[in-house]
Amino acid sequence: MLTLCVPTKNRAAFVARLLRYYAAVPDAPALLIGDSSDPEPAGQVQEAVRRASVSGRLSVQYRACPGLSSCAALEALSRDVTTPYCAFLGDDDFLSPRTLARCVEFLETHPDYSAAHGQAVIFQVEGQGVHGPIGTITAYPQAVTEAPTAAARLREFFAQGPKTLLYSVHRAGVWRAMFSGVSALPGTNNSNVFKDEMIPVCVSLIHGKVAEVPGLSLIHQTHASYRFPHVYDWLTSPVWHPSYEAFRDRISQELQRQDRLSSDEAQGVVREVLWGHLVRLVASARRKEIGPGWQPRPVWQQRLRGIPVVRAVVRQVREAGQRLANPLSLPSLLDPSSRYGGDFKPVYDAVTSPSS
Amino acid sequence: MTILVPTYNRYPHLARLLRYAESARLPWLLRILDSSSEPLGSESLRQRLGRGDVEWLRYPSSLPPMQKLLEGLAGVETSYVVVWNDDDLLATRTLAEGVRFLEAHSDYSVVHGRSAAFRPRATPDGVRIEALGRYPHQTVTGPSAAARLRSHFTRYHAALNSSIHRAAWLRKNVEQCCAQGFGYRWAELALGALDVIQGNAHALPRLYLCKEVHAGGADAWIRFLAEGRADAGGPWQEPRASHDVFDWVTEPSFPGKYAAFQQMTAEALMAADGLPPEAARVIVKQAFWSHVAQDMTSKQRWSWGRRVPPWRWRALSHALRGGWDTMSLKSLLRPNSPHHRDFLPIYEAITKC
Repeated sequence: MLTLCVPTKNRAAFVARLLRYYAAVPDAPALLIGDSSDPEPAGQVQEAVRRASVSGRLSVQYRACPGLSSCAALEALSRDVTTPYCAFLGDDDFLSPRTLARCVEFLETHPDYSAAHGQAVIFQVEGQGVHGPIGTITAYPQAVTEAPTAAARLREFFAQGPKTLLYSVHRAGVWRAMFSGVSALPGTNNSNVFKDEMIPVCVSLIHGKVAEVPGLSLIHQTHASYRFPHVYDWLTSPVWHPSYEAFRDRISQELQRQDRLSSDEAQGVVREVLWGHLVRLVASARRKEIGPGWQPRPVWQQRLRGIPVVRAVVRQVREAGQRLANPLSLPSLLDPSSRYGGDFKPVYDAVTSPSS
Repeated sequence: MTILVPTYNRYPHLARLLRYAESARLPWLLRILDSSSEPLGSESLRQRLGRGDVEWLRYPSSLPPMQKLLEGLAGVETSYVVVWNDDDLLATRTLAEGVRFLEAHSDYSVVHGRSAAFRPRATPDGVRIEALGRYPHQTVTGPSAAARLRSHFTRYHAALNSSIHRAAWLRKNVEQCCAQGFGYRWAELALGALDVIQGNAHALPRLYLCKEVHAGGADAWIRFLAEGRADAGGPWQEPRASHDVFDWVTEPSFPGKYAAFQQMTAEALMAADGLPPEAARVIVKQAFWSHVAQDMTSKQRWSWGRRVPPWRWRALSHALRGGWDTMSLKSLLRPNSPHHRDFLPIYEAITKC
């Protein structure tokens, strides 16, 4: 029923970790790997795929995508999807099969929804490697919208602030529309905020509502080295204008088709939502620049926390507090009684222990 | 000082300005930089343009505004110059005081004073002022060019274009803007940036400028106008703020013009403060975006109709902070207003056509 599309580039160790995880969990969905790696790491990815396929527990297909960016690889993979549902998965991320099954079940019975997802967390591995202790983990907001029209859904999405939608389970038809033509947009470069995220996400929203089902679906790894460009650099880069035009034209066309708007009305909606988005980004950047910034702890606190017993007590108290107050904190997720524990524990094992 | 008056197809405004200049007995040469495509119909205006203290220079109507200004500046032989827009009215006494101020303070590059914005309305009984309120002005001082640039753009309220300038510096700055092909908006930012890099900017505590605001024009978002706070007349038709910042940012030329602006301003900063190139570029970037962020957020509030505090509360808060808003039509017409003497000839020029 479901295919996970996994673009990757020169990160064979992450792909191997991902395949080991899905080989270990029940009811793993089909995996479609789009590999843009250089020849040597591409060989390592193929070897990992071969090993995973040999076990017979996993359905994995490999597709070489040399020279393609992430969104171009996703466009190529979307043509190979044969299941009615699919989702994007980064090679360093995890989507829990149990919650994915709930998403599929939901979409089967709700034809006006184009996508569904569960809760999400974002984590960082200490040392930034493939394996290691999990340093930080926090909730990762994903968009939910139930507005009746495409224009209203776009407005609602952009008013919510930064939220992701790419990792939701989508209907395969919507998925293909999201990435259709993004790799060939004129005047844009290979890695581009509009192509990688904004066009696909907006097309998804235009096609239908987005729901959240119970359970933890996405466990997303972040890396200190990866960032979208700063908003100032984005707006002043030479590819900004052609990318913006491509976005405006594509989203306007989709809006005209879906909501039966005139060209001017559709462009007005695009302008309004993008304007709000830019204002929020620029205002946030400015707040960071003129804000007080990070302040060191007072000396007495530093000295007190230097005492090992005090440090241990503080940690215990903080973890107890998190268990009570935040179900998506690390202590809560590792608690056997957590409602998300069943989804999180196999991921935790895959990340923290190389042999799992 | 020389007064440059760029004009384009606004002969009624130019006639008003010249009438005012004549009644105020301006002691300086007025150079009219006229690129109008419309014929000059009025005989009385033609006579005024032919007076000895007025130099009427004609330019092709296709000449870009910055190029026209540069050509107008080329013939200026005085130490000081002021660019007087054809629809504005400047107070004579404050102009004279501004020149004296620049003579006495070599660390200042420009000087201006308090400003008011007004909107006139033609009625069967003549022209009357429909709305009038404070127009932003600012003093920019700081120990270094970088500090002044930051201060100017972080609290950017109004351009310094109408200030009294040192002629040689303004000519050089306008030359640079023309070389970069800057249109009005980029040139306004660049000239302001270069002004504060070259020295402090002072605002004299007296009325300097009365600026006419046009419906739907660049200043139509001004709060007292948008709220319909008028000292006289009926309900104000609220002007819709445009997304002009959005249009600007999404223009195809924006990245290229920004790069030119950043380079030009950073070079001036390096020369003034001896900063390394990268540090200068970062300061310019932060300063520029600080201004754009303010512009984007404030105009979005207008266009999306977010509620702003009623003006009475703002007036009260202003009073508690130490002064009554003296920039209202009622107060300016009171003989005890500190600005009355400067405002009265301006008021008469506007209303007694």
